[in-house]
Amino acid sequence: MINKILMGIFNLIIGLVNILLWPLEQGLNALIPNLLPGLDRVSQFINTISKYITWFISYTGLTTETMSIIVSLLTACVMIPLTAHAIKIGLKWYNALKV
Amino acid sequence: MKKLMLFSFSLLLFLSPLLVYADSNNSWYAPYDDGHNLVSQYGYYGSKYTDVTINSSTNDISFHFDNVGFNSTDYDYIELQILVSFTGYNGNESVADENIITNQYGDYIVNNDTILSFTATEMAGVWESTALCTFHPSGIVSAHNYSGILRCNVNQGSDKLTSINLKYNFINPNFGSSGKYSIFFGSTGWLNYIRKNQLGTDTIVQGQQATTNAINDMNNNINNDNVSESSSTASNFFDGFRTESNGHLTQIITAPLTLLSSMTATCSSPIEINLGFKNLNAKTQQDGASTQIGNKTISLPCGTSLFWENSELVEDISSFRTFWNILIGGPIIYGLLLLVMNAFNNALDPLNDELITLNFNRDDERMGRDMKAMEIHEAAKISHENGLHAKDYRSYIRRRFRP
Repeated sequence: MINKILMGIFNLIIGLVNILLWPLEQGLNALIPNLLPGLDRVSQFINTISKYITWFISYTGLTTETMSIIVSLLTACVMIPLTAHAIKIGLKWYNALKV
Repeated sequence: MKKLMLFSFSLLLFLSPLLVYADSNNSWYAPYDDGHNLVSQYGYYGSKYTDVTINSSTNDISFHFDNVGFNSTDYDYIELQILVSFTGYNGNESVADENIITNQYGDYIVNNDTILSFTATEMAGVWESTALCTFHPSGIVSAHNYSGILRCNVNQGSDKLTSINLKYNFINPNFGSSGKYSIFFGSTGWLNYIRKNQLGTDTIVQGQQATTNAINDMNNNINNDNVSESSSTASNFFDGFRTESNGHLTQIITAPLTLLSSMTATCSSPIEINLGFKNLNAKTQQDGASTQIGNKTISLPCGTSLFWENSELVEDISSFRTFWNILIGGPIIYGLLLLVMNAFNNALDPLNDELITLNFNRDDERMGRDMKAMEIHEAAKISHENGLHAKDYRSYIRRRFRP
C-alpha cells in the first residue's frame, strides 16, 4: 500500500509536468525537428538506467516493502525542506503584500 | 442452636463408616483411583491402565497391560478399551472406540497378525471429519499381558487429537448386579489420559500457526491493495493516473521520479545485452569474404528469479531473506531516519532557510563564503580588542558560528 500511494503520487507529478510541458514539446517538434532524436536518446538512456537499477536491486535481496520504506524516507528527506521553504516563501509574500 | 448443629455433625461423622459399609453391601462403589487401578462397579472387577509413551516422530502410542495386582480367579475375561477423542472440522469433540475382548476363559482372541482399525466421525456429521486409528498388537499377547501400539492418523485438515483413553478391564459379570456395560461411556470411570506431551506440542504448533497467520495478514495488508474499502478506493484513485509520459521533455525532467519508481519495481524479465562480434572463422558465400558480422545476445537473469524467489529455494531462504533485509536495509533506513530528523530540525528553525537543491549560482556561493569570512574576521577583531586569549577566541568563534 505504501508503494502504491508513493507511486501514485509520482505518477500524479509526472502527469502534471506532462500537461505543462506538452505545448512546449509540440512547439519544439514543429520548430526544431532535429532535436527530437537527441531527446529520444536521452529518454532511452533514462529507461536503460531504470531497468538496470531494478535488475541490480533484485540481486541485493531487498524486498519491495524494504525498498518502499527507503524510497519513502528519501522522498521525505527532500520534501520536508522543500515544503518548509515553500511555507516560508508564502509567509514572506503574505507579509510583503500585507504592508 | 450451635450445640444442636455440632451434635448433628459429630453424629454424622460417627455414623459415616456404617453408611459406607451399607453402601458396599448394596453393590455400589464410587470409583476411586489408587494410582494405577480403578476399582469399578457393575460388572467390572477392576480396571487398570498404564502410562502411555508417545513417539513424537511417528505419533505412535505404546502401552502395556498386565494383571499384576489382580487375582486371576476373580475375573472371567479381560477387555481392552480404547477410546480416542479428537476435535474435528466444526470444533466438536468426537470419539472413536474399540474393545478388544478375550474370551470368557481368559484366552486371547487377538494375536500379532491382527490389526484393528476404527474410525471416529465428528459428532456434527456434516463435514464427516474422521480420525483413523489403527491398533497394532505387539510383543507377547495373552489374556493377562497385553502390549501394543496405537497409531492415530488425525492429520486431516483442522482435526487434532485431544485425548487418548486406554483401559484394561478385568470383568466378572457376577460382580455387581447390572452387567458390564452399565457405566460404559461418559462415566467417571473412564480415566482420561490426556496426552500432555502432545497437547503441549499442539499448543506450540497452534501458537506458531497463529504467528504465521498474523505475519501473513500483515504481509497481505502491505501487499494487497484491497484489504479494505478505503484501501481499495485509494488504489483505484491512484490507478487512474497514467504512468507513461507523452513527451521526451517530461521524461527528462521527471527522471529522478522515474529512477525512484524503478527502485521499488519488480524485476520481471532478464536484461538482454546484444553484443555484435566479428566472427573470423565464418565463411560467407559472397566474394569469398572471410569475415562475417554476427550477433550474440547475453541474457542476465534477475536476482529474484535466480536465487531470492527461485521456486526451489524460496522456502529455504525466506527466513534468511527476512534477516538479510534487516541486516542490509536496517542501517540504510536508520541513516535515512537521521536525515529526516535533521530535515525536521532544520525546517523547525525559523532562521534556517536552506534548501537541498543544486546551486547553479556560484556568485551567491562565493558571496556567502566571503560574508562568513568577514564575520569571522570581525569576531576575531572583537575578541582581540576585548583581550581574549586564543582559547577563548576559538570557543567564541565556535559558539558564534555553531551550525
